[in-house]
Amino acid sequence: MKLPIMLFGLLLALWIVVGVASMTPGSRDGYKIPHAQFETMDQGGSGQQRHGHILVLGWSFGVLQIATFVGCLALGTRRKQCLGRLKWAFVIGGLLCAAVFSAIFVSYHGFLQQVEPSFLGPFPAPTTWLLIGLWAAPLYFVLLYVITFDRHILTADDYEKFQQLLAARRQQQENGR
Amino acid sequence: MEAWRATIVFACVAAYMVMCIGVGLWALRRTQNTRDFFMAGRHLGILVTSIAVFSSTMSGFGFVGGPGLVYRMGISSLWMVICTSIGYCVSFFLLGKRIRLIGELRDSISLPDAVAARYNSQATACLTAIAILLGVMGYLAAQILAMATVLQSILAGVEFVGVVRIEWCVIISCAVLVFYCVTGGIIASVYTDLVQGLVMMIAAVLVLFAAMSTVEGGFEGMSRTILRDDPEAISPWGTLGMFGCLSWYFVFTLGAAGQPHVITKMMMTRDVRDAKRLLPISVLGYAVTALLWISIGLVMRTLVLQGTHPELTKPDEAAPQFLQHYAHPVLAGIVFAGLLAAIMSTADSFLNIGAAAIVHDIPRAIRGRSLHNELIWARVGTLGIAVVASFFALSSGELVALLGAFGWGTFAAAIVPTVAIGFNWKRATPLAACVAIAASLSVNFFVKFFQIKLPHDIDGGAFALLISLTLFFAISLASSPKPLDPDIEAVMDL
Repeated sequence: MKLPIMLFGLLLALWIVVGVASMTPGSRDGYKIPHAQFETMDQGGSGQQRHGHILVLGWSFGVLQIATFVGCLALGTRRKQCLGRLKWAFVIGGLLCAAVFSAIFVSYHGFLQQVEPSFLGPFPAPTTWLLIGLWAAPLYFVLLYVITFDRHILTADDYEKFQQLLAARRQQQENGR
Repeated sequence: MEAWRATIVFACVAAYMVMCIGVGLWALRRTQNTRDFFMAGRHLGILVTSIAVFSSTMSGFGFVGGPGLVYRMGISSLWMVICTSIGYCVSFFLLGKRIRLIGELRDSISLPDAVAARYNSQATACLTAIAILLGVMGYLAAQILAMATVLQSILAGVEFVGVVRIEWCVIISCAVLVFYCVTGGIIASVYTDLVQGLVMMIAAVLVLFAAMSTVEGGFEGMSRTILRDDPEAISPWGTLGMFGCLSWYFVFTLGAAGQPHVITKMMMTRDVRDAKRLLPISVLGYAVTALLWISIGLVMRTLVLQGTHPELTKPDEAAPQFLQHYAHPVLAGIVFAGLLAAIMSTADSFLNIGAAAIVHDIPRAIRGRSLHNELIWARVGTLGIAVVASFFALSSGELVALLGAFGWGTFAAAIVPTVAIGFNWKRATPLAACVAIAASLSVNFFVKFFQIKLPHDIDGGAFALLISLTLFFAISLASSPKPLDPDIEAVMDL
């Protein structure tokens, strides 16, 4: 399937999730409840009541977003409408980010059940997955960009072709004057 | 704040402002024409560009508003931070090569110039320039007000100065900003960004250690205190909730590829092949400066919950209060200079692209040619935008915060489809780009100004971005593509 059509499909899928979410009742107390004691702070209230019924919907919303982001990365890497073997590198990167994102949900599900939530490092486990995992996972794509830049994103041949285009354009402008 | 602490802070900030003026004078001699004024002659090296990229992204909102949001909402606002690693990837994969090549090929000196070349359509370029101008006015007004507020709180503690009215603080801080932007254009802007970025990084690392030593048990101690009060506040969704956080993830990740002040920096590099080094340095720089956002917000929420510190009068006080009460005076001086640096490094970029929109892009789209003596008009335009944005900042009060949010959403929703997607997809049409920009402006305006509440607190900017992207793809797929200029087509095939 062509990448732009796939991206369009992902956007439509995001619309479906937003549509279903808008038909699903929100938190009874609303979000960002004023703190009982401090006026300048908000509080969340009961996590089970806010999120217990929309966990799958939220997970779908996030995973579709990650697929859209990775699709955009791939769109910028195509050469003559083609990704070549890099396609698998993007699939692996997308799965990595989706796995870390899913870990946030799995550990948050546990967080909602526990009276004394378990810690992973200095934060509760789902927060650590967010702060360390989801922040760091895209470094895979940073590495991919650095490693494949000369071989795939802008090869020496491409650079040469561009220099020729530039020279032709400047010549054309000189002649125009 | 004690008088001696205030004097040290004042001295650090004064030294920083003198440095900015010095850079402006130095850059004046290097600015010979509009290409230098708007594009730095396309001569920027790797370090300067990468630091300018991240320091202009981390604005006053990040250094002042960010800690305030963590104090108020817990973990929620960190979704804006964690998305930057993938957000920068999206920007560089989509635009690092393409925008630089088209910019050099057509000698574009602004983003709308490159848009005109890609779509062969002055109407699309004009709409892009209008979207940039609207976003700039909102964002710049918010930055100017933040800059004046920080300066006012610094001067208030200095005995021989005393309380200074906010109007005077706007005039003083804008005078420094406008001086180096008018004299040195983007060259002064990026070289001050270099210093500003380094100051911000040092400040963030020092603050991290200061924050960890303020609460017993460091971050774990903070987490446990917040958890005891409200477990959701320290959960991944904070108090905002799941869909609000995930919509921020969407708009701040994709929106990173729609920030004109960042994209234009990619057009200024000496060599397109530098892009592969710019990405990791920018990601690292932003990650380091974001430590301030996280650490101050969490420590201030903890201290107030523990009763160690009185409740803040407003969340934006989190950073100044922490610095005044818990940081060493020299560190406070460096960080206050860092606060001004964060604000100014974003504001100077906006002044530059705003001036380009009114003196170069819009006249060119309407008249078909540039203004005579464009360099002089560029300087006048820079001054004019600063004056109008200052009046906006002073007169609109609460409206400025709304305008700031409107600015980010406008950039993201209008520019991501047109530039980030359109420069990588030959089938994208000028009609689709125009409709996407117009729709994004209308939806953003409608949602922000009428304060429409979306289900589950979904962010209005994310909603506008989803609409503009969907329209862009749908119209492009439904209409027949316009033939591209052969040189543009050749670049899009590379």
